[in-house]
Amino acid sequence: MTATGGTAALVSPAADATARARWRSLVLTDPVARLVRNAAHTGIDDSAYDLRQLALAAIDLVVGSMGFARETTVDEVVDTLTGLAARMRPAPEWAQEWQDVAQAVLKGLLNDAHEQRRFTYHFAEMGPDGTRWEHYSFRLLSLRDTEFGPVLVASDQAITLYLHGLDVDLEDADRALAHVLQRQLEDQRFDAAARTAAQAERTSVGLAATLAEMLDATRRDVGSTDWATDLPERLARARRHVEVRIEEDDRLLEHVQGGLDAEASPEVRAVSGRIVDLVGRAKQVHLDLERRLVGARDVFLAAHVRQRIARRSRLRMFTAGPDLLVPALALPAADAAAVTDAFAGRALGVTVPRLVRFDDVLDALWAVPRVAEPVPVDAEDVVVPDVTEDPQGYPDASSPRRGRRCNAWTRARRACPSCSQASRSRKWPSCWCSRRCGRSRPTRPTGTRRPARRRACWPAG
Amino acid sequence: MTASVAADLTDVRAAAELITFGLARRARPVEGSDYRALLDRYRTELRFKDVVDTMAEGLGLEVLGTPRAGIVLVPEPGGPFATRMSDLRPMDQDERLVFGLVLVGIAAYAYPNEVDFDDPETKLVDVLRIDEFLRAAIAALPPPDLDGRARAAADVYADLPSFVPTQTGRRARGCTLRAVEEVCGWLVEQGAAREAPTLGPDTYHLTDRFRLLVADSAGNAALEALRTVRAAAQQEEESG
Repeated sequence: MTATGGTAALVSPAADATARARWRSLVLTDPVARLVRNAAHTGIDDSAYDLRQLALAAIDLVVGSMGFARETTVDEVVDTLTGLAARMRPAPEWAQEWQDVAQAVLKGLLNDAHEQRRFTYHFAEMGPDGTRWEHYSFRLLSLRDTEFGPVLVASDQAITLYLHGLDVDLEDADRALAHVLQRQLEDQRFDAAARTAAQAERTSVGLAATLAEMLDATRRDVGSTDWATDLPERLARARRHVEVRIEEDDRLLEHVQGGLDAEASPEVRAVSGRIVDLVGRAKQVHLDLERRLVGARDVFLAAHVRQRIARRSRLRMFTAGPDLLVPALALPAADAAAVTDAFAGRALGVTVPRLVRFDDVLDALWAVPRVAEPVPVDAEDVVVPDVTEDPQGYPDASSPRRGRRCNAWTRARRACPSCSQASRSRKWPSCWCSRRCGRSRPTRPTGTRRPARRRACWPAG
Repeated sequence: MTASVAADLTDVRAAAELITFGLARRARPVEGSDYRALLDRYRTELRFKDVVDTMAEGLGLEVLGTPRAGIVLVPEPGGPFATRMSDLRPMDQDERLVFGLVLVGIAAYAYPNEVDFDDPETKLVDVLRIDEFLRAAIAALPPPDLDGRARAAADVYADLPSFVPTQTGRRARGCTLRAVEEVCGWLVEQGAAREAPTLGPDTYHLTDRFRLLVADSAGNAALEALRTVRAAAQQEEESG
């Protein structure tokens, strides 16, 4: 810091101008760093699993499915991450851990440790009048309830992270990548062009996902997006962008296709084929995006009619914790029961009554009782004991099994402290030795345990 | 109704079908299904929406909303489709109170702010965390100002042990963790939650159905009951 007050720059005018954007780029990756830190507390070895890569893979999966007919479900993401974790630590003894790792990563991205609230950071804006703290909150992934079950949705921040971890405008990035790609093709730098085409495709998917999220938000609550100024501008810009990009995609495809037909080198043909696939997929994404843009206005109008013009029947002016739970807990039990009953009667939803019909009951009573089918039992391999060996006798000094005896067994067989005779019983007898020396039941020596079962002392084999 | 409007019989039939889908809690409006077509009609045709709403009203139901997972219906208390906790399992008064507190606790845990009722994000709840949340809320309460014999609802919950194991190591009846587990099980049966075994044992997703039921019906009904109880207590104080 070079300046302490006035209008002087903190570091330098150029650095200050981009400080906020760079700070945001920095905090975007913090949730991932945090989940790696927290993984240690859940017993996951960070050195055995690349948790950062797993987190990026989860975001990739979610962003890649957004904007299509069916989003990625939680189970699908967990399954994929489990598979990746298995590849990172493939030994079968770690199989139990793979799913735990997948769960830890997904829960970290959902901020499950803080009840799935948004990740919140504070930016210190240091001006001439002092320091002002600015909150920056965001989610990476969130859960939605759909007809397919719970699905995952990525936020704008997650989409940015998915692309390249920088705070950039997606339309600009998409256009810039198209120019770079064209330039690389003209220079015949095909490997670089293939990488750029892949990046361009990812950018297009990110753009499509952002728009899909925006339209979903409008369908949900038309007030959540600014349809007066911001959204119409963004839609118009997106339409122009898609229009240009579809034309450029066609031109690029023709260009590469032309080279593909003329070029004889197999390496160049292979790379060109890959570029054609990538550009073809990007074009498909742009065409999907165009279809969605065409219907965007209708989505807004329909949502407006349904949500704003329609009669608003309910107000949600309460918070369940302070307004309901805490007062109910403080009430006398009988009064609180009236409150909780009223709540439960509604919160449990509908129940369709089942009517008992006389005929059905009669049939059920007359029905032949069900007989349990016998379950075939797998016969275990029985270990036949060695009958020649006296289980009570002293083992041969040369027997290789001698060393396997446990201490408890040895202790049980040691001499009676009263008459110095060895015990012949496997259990603690009333008299320790077999000669009945007449002593009463001895107390077990301090620090010894009951002798273990013989099976434990003489393992099979 | 001040003016009668003739309804097309085919619309009436379609409305009845939509309500049937709403009552069958496991039906999903997947793309191309009849349920989805009817749901789309409800969302877009005001006339059809009126027919459905009116028919539901006659059956003792109310349409709360149409999120992606399907139409959400709430029963009128005492109506043919109403659910009472005692229908789900026989229980004494204290148990009923504990189960009711758990249900309110789940809502308070999942939707801590009023804006959360508008957020369609599915919430994850965990049996252990719900119990911890309720016990933390009880611990934060000031000492109750009740006459000698009355027992506060918080005491009923706090007096129960958190965990009592059975011989097989599962949760036995009579502990609060078992109560939370049972309530989560009911929510799953009622279509208000789904099990999430992939995210850990005892983890559940709360569905949009639960959010709407709490936000638009149960919360207001409970607040009304709370107001009534307080008014009665105040009247008693004034007269006594």
